Amino acid sequence: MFCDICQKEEATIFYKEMVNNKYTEMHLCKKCAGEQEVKNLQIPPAITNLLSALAELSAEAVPKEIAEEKCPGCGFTYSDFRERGKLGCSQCYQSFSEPLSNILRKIHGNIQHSGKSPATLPTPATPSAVPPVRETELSKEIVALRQALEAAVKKEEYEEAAKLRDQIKALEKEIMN
Amino acid sequence: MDIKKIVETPAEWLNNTGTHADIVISTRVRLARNLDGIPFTNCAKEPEINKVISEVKNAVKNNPYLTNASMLDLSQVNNLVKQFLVERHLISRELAENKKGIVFVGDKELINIMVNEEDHLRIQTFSSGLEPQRTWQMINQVDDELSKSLKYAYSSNWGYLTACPTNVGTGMRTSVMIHLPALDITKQIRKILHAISQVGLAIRGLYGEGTEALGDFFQISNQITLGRSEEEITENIEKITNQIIGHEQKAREVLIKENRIQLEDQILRAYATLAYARVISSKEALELLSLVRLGAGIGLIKEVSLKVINELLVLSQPANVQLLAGEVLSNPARDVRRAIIIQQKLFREKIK
Repeated sequence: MFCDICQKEEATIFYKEMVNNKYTEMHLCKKCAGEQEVKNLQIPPAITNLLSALAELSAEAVPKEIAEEKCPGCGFTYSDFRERGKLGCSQCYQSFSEPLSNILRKIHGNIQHSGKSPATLPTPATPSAVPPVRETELSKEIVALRQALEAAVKKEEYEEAAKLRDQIKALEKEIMN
Repeated sequence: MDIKKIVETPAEWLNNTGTHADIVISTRVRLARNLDGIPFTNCAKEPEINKVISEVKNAVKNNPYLTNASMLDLSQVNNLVKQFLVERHLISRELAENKKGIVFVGDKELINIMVNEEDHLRIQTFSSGLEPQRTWQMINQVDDELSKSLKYAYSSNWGYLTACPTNVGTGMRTSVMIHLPALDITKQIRKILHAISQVGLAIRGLYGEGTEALGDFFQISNQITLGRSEEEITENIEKITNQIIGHEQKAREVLIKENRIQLEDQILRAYATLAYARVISSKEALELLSLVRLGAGIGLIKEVSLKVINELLVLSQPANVQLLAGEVLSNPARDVRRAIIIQQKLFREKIK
């Protein structure tokens, strides 16, 4: 078997790379294998991940109405984000929550924050600062719906997914108000 | 800000006082934060950018950890000074290119805040050696204080909201600047670096994203910021760095045991060149300093401290050389001046 890169030398090395639980496999000659590792060194993986996540998603083709929908906070569209790799404002996370969650999962393997929160925000630890009951219930519901949405997307049940998405949006609006 | 004072006194995190400082030069933690209700820097208009500056100014004034911090408006300095600040790790390349960038530099360069970088705030803390815990605790306190007067963009789902989704969540990046010469000499470096990239950490050169790894100096940092707590990120970096340190130590032992004369010859030749050459380029300086640093680490070179070598890593950079010289120098003149600066520093230390 010849090397996958140069196609000239005998492939003696089986090269397997794992980024975020995804394997890339190649059969390489000694020389190309060495260069391959050097390349890995020079490209910052964080950026590589974002770019590859974006590339994959553009191949997937986001429906036009999602790609062109404007974020009410800054006027950015999802296409703008794809072009620049940066979002326009903090509201973009809400506006593009669906396509973004795919990207976040690809980059971080996760879509739920589990670190600190700002000191000024009320924390559940202090009783007086607990958010209103209705609101906590709603956010619990949203979390459950998000999980269901994820499961539906995995099973490729897109009609169900669309329904769940609309429910989540409605609940999120309720919380915002 | 008094640039001259910064030029003459290298940062305290080069002091070689922390854990495993013979192998790990420094630990840095940075937090990305944005203000609620203001578009991210790439999308903000001038009044909004000015609002960010005035709010951060006010918050810094009230912050007990930043009482001695000085402010530098980057629109007021020339490109040479900007490059100097990049070489000192006080600002990023991105901030240097931004027209409305500002940086606050704390006492001894251990804390700094960049304003209007990719995110409104990029807070950083530094320590000598491998100190992820301590460096995280330091920045956590600074951040808590700041959040008393600044309203951050935050959501309970996605955490701290950042311009680039690669930073969202904790907004935290812990980087360890590590020196691995023995792993390079014994030809194991690629294997190790490859292994690091497989466990979700990133490896970069001395000056961060997209820079070459010169003189066997690397930066190792976490990539994942969402779904892991700050403590988990900290522990993970510490654990993996300790493993790499173990490999480097073993490689040093093997070299000393099996290849002593060749190793010492290589190190002492590098030392001789640094001490007596008339013309030294910045690339050559890093490579020679790397070997001399190994020599000092294994006790072969006793008269030069690791602190001096660490400082020379920074002082031999192009803009540092020119600001130390007090004038703009052409490339060849810079290489001559660099040799003088290195020798002054080496011999001044020797006499002590």
